[in-house]
Amino acid sequence: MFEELSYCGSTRALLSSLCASETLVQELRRNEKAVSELGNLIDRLDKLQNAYTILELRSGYRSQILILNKNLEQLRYSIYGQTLINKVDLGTSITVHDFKEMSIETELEITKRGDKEIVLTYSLTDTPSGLKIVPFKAKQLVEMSNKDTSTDSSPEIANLFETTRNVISKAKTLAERYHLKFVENLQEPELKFNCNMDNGPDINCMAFGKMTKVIKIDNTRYYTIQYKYKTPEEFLGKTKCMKITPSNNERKIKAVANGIYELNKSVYSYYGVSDTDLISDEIPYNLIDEGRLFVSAKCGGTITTWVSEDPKVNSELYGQFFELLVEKLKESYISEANVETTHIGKFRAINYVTHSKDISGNLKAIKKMVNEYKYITQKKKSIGSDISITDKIKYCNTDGKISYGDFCLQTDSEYMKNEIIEFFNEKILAFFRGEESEESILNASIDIFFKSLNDILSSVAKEAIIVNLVINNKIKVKVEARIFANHNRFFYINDQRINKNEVSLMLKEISCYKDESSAISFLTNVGRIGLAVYMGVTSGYTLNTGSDVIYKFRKLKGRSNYELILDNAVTSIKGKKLLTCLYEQFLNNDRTARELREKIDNIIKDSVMSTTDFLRYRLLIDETYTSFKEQSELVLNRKIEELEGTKVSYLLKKTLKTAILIVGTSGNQYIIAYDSKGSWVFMNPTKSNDTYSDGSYICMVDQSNIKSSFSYDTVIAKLMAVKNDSVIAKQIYNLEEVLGGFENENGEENTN
Amino acid sequence: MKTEKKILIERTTENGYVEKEYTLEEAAVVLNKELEDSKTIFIDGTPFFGTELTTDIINTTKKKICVTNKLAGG
Repeated sequence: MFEELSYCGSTRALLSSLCASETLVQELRRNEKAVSELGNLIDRLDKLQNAYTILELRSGYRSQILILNKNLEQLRYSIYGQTLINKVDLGTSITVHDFKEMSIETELEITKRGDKEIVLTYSLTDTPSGLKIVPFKAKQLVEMSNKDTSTDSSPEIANLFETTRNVISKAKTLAERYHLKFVENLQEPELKFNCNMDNGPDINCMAFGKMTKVIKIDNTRYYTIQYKYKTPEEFLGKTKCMKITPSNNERKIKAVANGIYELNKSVYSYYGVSDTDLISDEIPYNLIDEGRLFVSAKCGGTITTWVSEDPKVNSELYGQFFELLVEKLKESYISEANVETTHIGKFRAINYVTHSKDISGNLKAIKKMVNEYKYITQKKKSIGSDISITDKIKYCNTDGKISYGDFCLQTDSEYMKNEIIEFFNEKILAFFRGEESEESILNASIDIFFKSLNDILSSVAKEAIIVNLVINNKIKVKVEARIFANHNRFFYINDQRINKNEVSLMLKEISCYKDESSAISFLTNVGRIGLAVYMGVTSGYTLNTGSDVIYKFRKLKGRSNYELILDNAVTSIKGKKLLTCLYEQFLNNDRTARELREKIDNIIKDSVMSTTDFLRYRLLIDETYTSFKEQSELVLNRKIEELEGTKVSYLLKKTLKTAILIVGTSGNQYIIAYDSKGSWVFMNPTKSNDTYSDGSYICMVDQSNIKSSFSYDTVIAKLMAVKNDSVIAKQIYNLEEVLGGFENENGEENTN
Repeated sequence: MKTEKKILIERTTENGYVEKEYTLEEAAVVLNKELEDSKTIFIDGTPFFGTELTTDIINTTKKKICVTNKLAGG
């Protein structure tokens, strides 16, 4: 008997519930393919209004059958489970047995409509017997009415709508667009081209959809369709259940092309038609199959329905349904157009109506010519004012503004403007000739922006320099180079002192923020803990969220694109929410471990590209910490052995620390005491029993921006340095001083 | 058949310290990038103080090259 194990209000909660299953987690951790399969499965569920899937988790003699059911009317996911005992050990694995585009409740309802027992039977591969899903919800089911369920249908259906709309729109405009524009631009109106689509499909009166479920009981086919329809008044998504018997197979439907069946019925409306008119219940019995697509549109006084091939019978034709429909519409409506023959230069515009295949080729040639024409006019327009590389990448020289969608960098410096316009004037030509991509031009323009800013700040001006920037239209930034009485120059961003080499980095980071308050908060925070720590947070940050976890990132190209580095895997992270959260946690440690974990999980769910990525994160984040820690210990121990050091204990301020004893080339003994947060070096300590203490403290600072105490980077650097103390001392002045002091104390020169 | 000499480099990455073998040319690229990032380089345990590592210098390696963070007096 199936039992409802849990219910969840969100996909993240569903994934968290699944990750509580030890069998599942065990399998997923060692099977990357299973992670992506399960991730894709959850994604499919997520995209649909109502759906369910049946999973089997095997572990030895036990199989757990899980039904993941999504029912949007109840705003939740449910997990039902049943455990089976197998006769043989079947190992550990995950199998997806079924996926249905309707909730389990609807499935049971449809079966019930056939006046049959409300039981669904599945033959599960390799299980001792077929599995019966008993009517565990039967009591709660309401009688399904024949009325439509006016809910918005799934994104898949929404995509179908876009495709269908494009099909009809494409057929209508294909021939005209570039052709007429070209003629208009060249002012040669003698070239005319008409296509007659007056009686063609009407984009404003159409419906399209998919047969999502078909169940055959006796001679009747019960089927569910999901569809979207548009009339001039409304645009809605619906689900409808219908039934049909073989006697309805005599209706007039004809195969009008390979993989396209056409059904026509008259309509007596000059205006809009309802979805009841558009969704024909006249599709014959033999064309009712799960997965078939259909498109209905009002064409003059007729409603025409086109039905695709059955995907199970001919998947190739099924896959090409929309392409074939375009061809079909072109043949029906465009081929009747009247065309005059004419010549434009060497281009000969003939016969492209009667041979529809030639249209594309000829239009491509025209498009190329139009582009060239556009380039010339655009180039003329761009001199001294705006330059538009594409609709997205623009440069306005008057404002000194480079923009790309909502991203923009603006300067008031004339020097920078000159540099940038020179750059854009060069690139516009390269772009139109296809020598450079939009992306490469954008990246290069950002580089030029910051390089020219850096040139100004580096110039040997005797007066203070102020450059006002506006980032992303909202963030006002004042960059200053102030000169003081002693001729020292210091750099400021919005009056916040910044190291010169960090100015560009800071501005690039600011360009990832969309609102001024977040950018100011970033500036203030960096002012409080320094850019190095900020970088540290982004490059590896250990937190306790119930158990210890480490968040390490790799910055990728582009705005706010990161990879969260996990044990032997990575998960792509988009946006800065996660970093901001970790960063806030660094400043104000005021959340409980549970709150923090939940918040981070929610942010990661919103920031990853797919459910698979989130699943990977959930499965590996805890292991990453353990594995990284073990690996770090291993490397440190190997290093100690190589450098002939010894692990000892050191008494540091009454606390016993793990330490390494090592002898330098000068002959001096060093202790490097360390823990997960820091390390301390002492020269010539005293030994009492087996514990070391005291000695001269040598302060050594790790200058690296990205340092992770966790991986003992600094401890290893210190080990290598003190081993070579006499040669490296000149780089570490404290060491040099102490070594000198040692010579004086002994009254003799250290010859090593 | 003459086999190309491989240089063993030990350095820190996002995944912690890793050891990997490189050809001379690859090693030159990797190590000079590390020098640019102000790292300290030890060839067979001895620090290198120059500004550029040539393939000739790298070729003198007998065991391995270790890259560590740069330390300064505090």
